[in-house]
Amino acid sequence: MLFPDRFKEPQMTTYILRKILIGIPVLVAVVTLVFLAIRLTPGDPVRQMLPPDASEDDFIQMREHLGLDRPVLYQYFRYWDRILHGDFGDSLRTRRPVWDELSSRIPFTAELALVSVILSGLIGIPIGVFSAIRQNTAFDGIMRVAAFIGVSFPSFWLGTMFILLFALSLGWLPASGRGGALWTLSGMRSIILPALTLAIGSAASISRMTRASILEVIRQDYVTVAKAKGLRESRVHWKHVVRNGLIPVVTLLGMQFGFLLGGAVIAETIFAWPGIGQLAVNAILFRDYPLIQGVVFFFAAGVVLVNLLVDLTYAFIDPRVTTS
Amino acid sequence: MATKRMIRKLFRNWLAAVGMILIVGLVGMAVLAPWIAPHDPYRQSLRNRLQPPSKTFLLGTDYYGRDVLSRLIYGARYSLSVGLISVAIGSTLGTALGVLAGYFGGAIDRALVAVLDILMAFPGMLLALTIVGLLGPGLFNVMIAVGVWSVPIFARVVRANTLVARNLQFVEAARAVGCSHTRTVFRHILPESVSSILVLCTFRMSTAILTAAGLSFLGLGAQPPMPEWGAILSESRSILRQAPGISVYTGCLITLTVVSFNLVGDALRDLLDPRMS
Repeated sequence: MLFPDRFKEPQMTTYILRKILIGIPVLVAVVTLVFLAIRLTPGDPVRQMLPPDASEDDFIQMREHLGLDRPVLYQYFRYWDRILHGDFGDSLRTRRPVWDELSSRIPFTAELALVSVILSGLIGIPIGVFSAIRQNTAFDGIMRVAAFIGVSFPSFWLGTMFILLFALSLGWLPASGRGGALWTLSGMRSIILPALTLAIGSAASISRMTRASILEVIRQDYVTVAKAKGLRESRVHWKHVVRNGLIPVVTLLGMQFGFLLGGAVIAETIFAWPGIGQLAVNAILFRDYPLIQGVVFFFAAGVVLVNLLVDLTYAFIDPRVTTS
Repeated sequence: MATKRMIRKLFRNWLAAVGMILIVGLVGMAVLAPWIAPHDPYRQSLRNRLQPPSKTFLLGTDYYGRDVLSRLIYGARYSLSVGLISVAIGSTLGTALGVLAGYFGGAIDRALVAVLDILMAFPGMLLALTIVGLLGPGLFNVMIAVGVWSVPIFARVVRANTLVARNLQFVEAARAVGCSHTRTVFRHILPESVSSILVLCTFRMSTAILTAAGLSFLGLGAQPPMPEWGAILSESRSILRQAPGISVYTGCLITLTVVSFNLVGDALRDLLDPRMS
């Protein structure tokens, strides 16, 4: 059975509904803030959008084109009306609809973020678990230092060093670009470096959190009981400690997804990965406001969605969540 | 004296001592830059382009023939001041909001907590990027962006401390003998948060320096020819094959700075605010 019975209980329905409802004000607030910020920032954005030699007529025409000559409240509702219809306006630079720009790049960022989350989990969780089980051993010590350095490491430097080592010096992997679909060899080869660049920092914090969480569980009474009644140590560790200790790690993996979206901006720029991050940087550099609004909305929606999924997964694996 | 004892304790933790010495070194480098930098960090020389390390140019030269060492030394000024200014913005605003919410409670508190939760839901880098996106590229805007990102982090901690402090007996007593709100807050409530704020400031310094360098690396912060570390790293990318050293030194320096603030932060936290760890 895919869903346990408690997912049919009214308590669970309220929980899910409440979580969904919490996400909506966040999105509304983000859209409103971005809308206001663009209109309140010093320096008329319209002037910055136009070339320096633009005439006063161009300026007025541009304002009319963007609907900026209307009352602010009207603009605000009109803005919402369009967003709800999936219309984010046209990019000032490419003249293409913002939604087209976003949707053509979302899969590439999603692919990169997903591979990085998996990588960081695969690296971080085992290290955290073994560090905790073998607390205060040499392995634990080395891994803790590694995690400390890992979280302090600038990802933009790590990426550059990866290129220097694996692409320029050794020639094992391509230095930039996306080599094709993930299931092809060139696709896989091209995603390794950007995904690793993103994953190292997350892996470091995941291993730290996993270690702390497992250590907390090890000290619980039921673990002492399990040991006292003569269960083999490996059984105690896997059945009792790790299974419970990994519950908070799920949340952390979800939170990492948000951080990875931020990190993706850097990794995509270094490795010329054709995703949202690269689009965002270019939008900011060219002051392409409709595109900036679209990208910010995408980021916010992504974060809200992932938070929702994390909460639901959490309720799914830990029955204590909905009752508290 | 309490401060003296604290510094002595801090130095007994050798990792923290290493961090402190490194920070003092970096600050010294930033302050004394004009006297210790061997060359002018902006001076271009086509004749000396891409020189390997030598006696004249200890770390070699970049694409425009500028001395890499001097640029890195001057870069400490930008990176450290970006960190300082953005932490100052974040801690001042955050502390004010946190005290306001915690001390007065009620509707102000609920409204502030709601806004803070929304800000916290956003991963820091995305938030900073969004703010720079709205304000436009530039080092000053990066400081504002990183500062704003820190506001909710300070506000939450200070609010929690204030909620506890508000109900302490000596605070009640102060109110009872007729202290004004202002006096109560500044003399009795805020001192309760000083150690948490100090710890947070240290950690935020490292995050601020890292984020600012990252944004400059993307071309959204310091603009060339400013010798900011992130910008130097970004410039050195195009000559990675010819002069890999520039990237290596710059990255090491950024990492070293971040690590030293984190080391001191860790030690300060254990010392001042064991609840936070």
